[in-house]
Amino acid sequence: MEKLKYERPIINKIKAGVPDKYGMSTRVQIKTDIEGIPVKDIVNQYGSPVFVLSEKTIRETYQEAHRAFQSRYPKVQFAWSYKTNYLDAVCQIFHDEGSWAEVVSGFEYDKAIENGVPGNKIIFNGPDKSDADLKKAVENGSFIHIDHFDELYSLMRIVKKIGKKAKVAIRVNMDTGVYPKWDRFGFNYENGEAWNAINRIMLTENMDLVGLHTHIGTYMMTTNAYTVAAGKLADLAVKTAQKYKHHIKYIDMGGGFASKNTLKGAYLPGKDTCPSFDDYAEAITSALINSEIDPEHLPVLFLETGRALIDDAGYLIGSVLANKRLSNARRATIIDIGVNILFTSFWYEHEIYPGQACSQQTEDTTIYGPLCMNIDVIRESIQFPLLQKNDLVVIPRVGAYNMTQWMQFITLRPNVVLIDREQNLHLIRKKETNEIFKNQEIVPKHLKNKKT
Amino acid sequence: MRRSEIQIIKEGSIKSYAQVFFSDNLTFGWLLLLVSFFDFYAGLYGLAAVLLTNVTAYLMGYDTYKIRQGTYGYNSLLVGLGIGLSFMAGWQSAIIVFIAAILTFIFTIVFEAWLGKYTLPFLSIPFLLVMWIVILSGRELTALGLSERGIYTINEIYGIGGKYLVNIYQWFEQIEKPLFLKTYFLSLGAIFFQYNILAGVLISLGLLYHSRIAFSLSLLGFGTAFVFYQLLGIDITQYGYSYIGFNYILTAIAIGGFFLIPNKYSFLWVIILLPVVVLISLSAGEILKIYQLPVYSLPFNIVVLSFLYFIKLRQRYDRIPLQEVIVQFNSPEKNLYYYQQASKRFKWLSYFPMYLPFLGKWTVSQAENGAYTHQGDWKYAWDFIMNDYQNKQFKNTGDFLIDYYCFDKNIVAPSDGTVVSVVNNIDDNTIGDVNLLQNWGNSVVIKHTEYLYSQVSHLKKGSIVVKKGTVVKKGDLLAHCGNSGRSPYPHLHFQLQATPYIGSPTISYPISHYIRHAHHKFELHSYDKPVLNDVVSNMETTELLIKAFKFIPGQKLQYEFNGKKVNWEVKTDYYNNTYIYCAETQSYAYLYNDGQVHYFKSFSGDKKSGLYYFYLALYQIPLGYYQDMIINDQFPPNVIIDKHKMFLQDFIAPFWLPYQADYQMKFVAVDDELYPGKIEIKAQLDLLRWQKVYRQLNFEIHINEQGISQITSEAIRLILQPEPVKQLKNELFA
Repeated sequence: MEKLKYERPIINKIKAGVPDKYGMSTRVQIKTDIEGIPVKDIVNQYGSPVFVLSEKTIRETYQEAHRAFQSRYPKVQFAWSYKTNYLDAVCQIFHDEGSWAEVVSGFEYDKAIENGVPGNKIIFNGPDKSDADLKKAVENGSFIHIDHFDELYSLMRIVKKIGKKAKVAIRVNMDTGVYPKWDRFGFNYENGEAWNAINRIMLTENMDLVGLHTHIGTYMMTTNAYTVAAGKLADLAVKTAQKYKHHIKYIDMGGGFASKNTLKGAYLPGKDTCPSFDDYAEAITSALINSEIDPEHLPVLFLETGRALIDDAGYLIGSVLANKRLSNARRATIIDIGVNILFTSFWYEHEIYPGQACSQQTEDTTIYGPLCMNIDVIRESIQFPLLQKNDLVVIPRVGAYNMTQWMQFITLRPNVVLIDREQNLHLIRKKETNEIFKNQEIVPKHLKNKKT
Repeated sequence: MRRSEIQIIKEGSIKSYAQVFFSDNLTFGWLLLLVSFFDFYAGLYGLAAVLLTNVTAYLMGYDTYKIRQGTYGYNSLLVGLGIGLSFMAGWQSAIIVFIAAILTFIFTIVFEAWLGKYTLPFLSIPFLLVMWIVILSGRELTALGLSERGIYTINEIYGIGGKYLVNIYQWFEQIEKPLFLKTYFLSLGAIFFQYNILAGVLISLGLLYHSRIAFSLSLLGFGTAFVFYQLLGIDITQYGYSYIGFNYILTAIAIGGFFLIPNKYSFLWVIILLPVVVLISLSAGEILKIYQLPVYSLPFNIVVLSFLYFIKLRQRYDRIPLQEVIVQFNSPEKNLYYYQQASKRFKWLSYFPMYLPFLGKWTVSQAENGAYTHQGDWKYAWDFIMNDYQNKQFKNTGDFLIDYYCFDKNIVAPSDGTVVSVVNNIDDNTIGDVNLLQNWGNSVVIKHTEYLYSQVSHLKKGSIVVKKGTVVKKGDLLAHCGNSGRSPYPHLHFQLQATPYIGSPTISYPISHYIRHAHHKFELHSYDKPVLNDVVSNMETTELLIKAFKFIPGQKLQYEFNGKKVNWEVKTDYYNNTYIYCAETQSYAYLYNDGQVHYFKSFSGDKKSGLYYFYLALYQIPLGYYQDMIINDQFPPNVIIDKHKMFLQDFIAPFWLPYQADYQMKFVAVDDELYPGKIEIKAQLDLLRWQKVYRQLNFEIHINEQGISQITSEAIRLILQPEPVKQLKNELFA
């Protein structure tokens, strides 16, 4: 039998009163393994902190989402939102499942091409597309989602010059009844800019208006917004068909589906309040099917879901660096995971699980990251068990955005490993070294350190 | 009369001769016409009767198609021949021929209508009745005088062809011939009232030219009768018996290959039935002897009509595949090859289109004759669930309905129809529980056509969006998948039935088209039934393919065929068959398109024309692009294989086909899967001898927005000549 672990003594107020149906207090959940592999072994092999991704979860989540839409709408196509997680291994899993690529910059575009995605299966979004990017996209037959008139004018110039037809869609923003209104991207529906853009495109030679796109927001907690948005896009499609006898080939509903994380300030946990894929699918497909669109020309439904497809598949393992008591007697635990690599801790109340067995005693604890910065707080307040230095912690649902928005700040970015379906570990991104940074830097001659 | 009218009468009259042997072959008709003139007056009277009948039929306004086919003429022809032979030539007998031909035609129409009610043919009943009437009355009409012709044959032949022909005739008669062949030829000649071997030989050659199957049947039928006579100990060579020998031949052709699709069973029935024909011949002869009437074709008529009616009244057609000919091509070969095609390819003829009642990919968890509940009256049903890649049907622990992938998914109408029953208020069971009291759970029954209803069951409570009386179209939302009734876990029950009640006994009915998914591979199943563990979905059509294969009557197609311009036109006939017609080469390619698959049905005309290659390359094309999907099909051998090879094949075709022509197509490439603008298809034609490929033709087919833009193979190039496209956009912003 393993020796019982030492835990520091604590004094807790006795909670009087009748136990509710769940008993007296919250049980501490622990996470000692990921997909059957002990977290201890992963840390021993790849160090701490370390990102872990589960291929099985990625595929299962994708298939669940796909199934939800495919069983409700005849033609559905997902496009993997590169910015959510563009580790090549992750992209390849999605492409293997049948996803296209949705990119928002020249860098992402090239990445998609390097990942072997054919040009005609790339959707090019975003407000920043250089002339060179646009030219490449036109030549590859990619779908260009135009964000603003200046981009439209650039594109008109480019297609005229190279004499090749561009496949374009416009990005439309609109009031879907949620606050805040997202009107930053694309052309507005209510003020007529979207219709104006459509008319200009329709009257331009060498431009084929193939789609309509919207991205109504992120982390949408209500499906009704999608019903409204799909309805408005359908209206534009119907108007275009009426005026030009031109049938829009696809409607892209963007992303924005919530994952099961809990937003800061939310009253109930995200896993209880966020809609399921079936809920989103029902809202979107019903709106399209019930619209005035001619059923013979029902457009393909595109989805650029990122977060909801990958969040659950990512874990971040770290270890405790120190415990301390704050001035107000509150306990604080410092772990080696900082906001520099867990960027989403600015938005989410991340769950944090101990990575080994512990007692059910907890203390109200603040969890700090390792950075020498006041803002480096992972959780302001959490009922946390009494861990010691070098104990492991596991943060689930970190698959989205962290591995793209992370910063090299104070520390270097850690290893990322993937657990495949046969439970093999693969290192998919090596941790950074000083060498990498040195290579990028150039010190002017006069500042080179001379031997003194 | 206009030229076209004369053409109808002429063609119909020649074909009337061939129709005696159930043929519409003009050459055979001309040959028989020639043979009938072996007896000049008989031939003349026969021809007069035919012409008279066909002109009357035309003037009286009867079906032009049937006149042209010779359907109305052949009974009169036989009457004319019969009178010509039985009576002395002269104006009196000419008048009798006139009257008799009219009467025959009246009888023809009457019997056609009367027997037509039972979908039976009128065969030679009009001839039989009229001949008897004429013979019975002829005894009173002394002016007519009985003819002695047919007895002094050589005199007559001398009269026609002089000494030269007599020499040939005598030489021929003197050749040592086996008894069997001699009586066979005599019997064959007797059909045209020519009781001589030369006529028989010519007719048998004509028959062989017209149809190998009919020829072998004539030998089989006559042979069986011959053996039976031997067994009974009767000498068939006696004049009276061999004169009615044609009954055996005609019965054999009618039963063995003309009214039924020739196969081993039809041949077996010929062997069984011929002794019957012999017995009827003998017995009828005894009765008719009293009135001094010849038997003529009475046994043939009795046996063929009785047997055809007999097999129509079967309840099950599948135990012994004895198939009546539905589309009559007037040739046993064509009937056989068409039927072989039709039974495999043209199943839309017998089934109402039926699709899967859902969107997306579902897995069959219980198929027909399933292990759990699909038994007895309810054996023709399917249960569907949704699985993930590990073949698990739920996520998490599977303790709750929402854990199941199929739960709450959309259930849609499998085909057009009207909702006739709805139950929507039965609670969904918790996992593992079953409701045996309301075992169908929430259900919808749709009426598609008479005696065809579909039922979906175990739906989610309160999810049904249709009402009794709602008219639904294929793919309309009905409800959501649930877990009500006898359902321990969420699944969809789908069945087809003949009555409108929930839980009616099921009927065996195939799904028109569906895609079976197996490891990123796609298989198109047409008129088939999914089996256990199949992962299936409806076929999603591709607009580009739909557009390319939409041939609208009146549409003109212009192609460049090996550098030469060819013009085709899409037409339809009054049976609603669409075909592409090439006026230059007089070629026809018939097609069928059910909205999901394009088929070429048949081709006739010039086999060097561009249209022929068009037909070969595009024999069957599914209208939904599925990468690397392969379709296999077979051509009717008579369209593809060389004539001389087919001549030999025809003899054994009812039993086995040594020469075959296989078709295979594959979707190769698409420029844009989402919205294809260009699709490339490869098609392959394999000619097989004893199942080994001896010739191969490979086609590359390109399809674009303009249509089927290019078909190329080793030998040919077909390139679409586009119509000038109207310029829609202007240079406003340029």
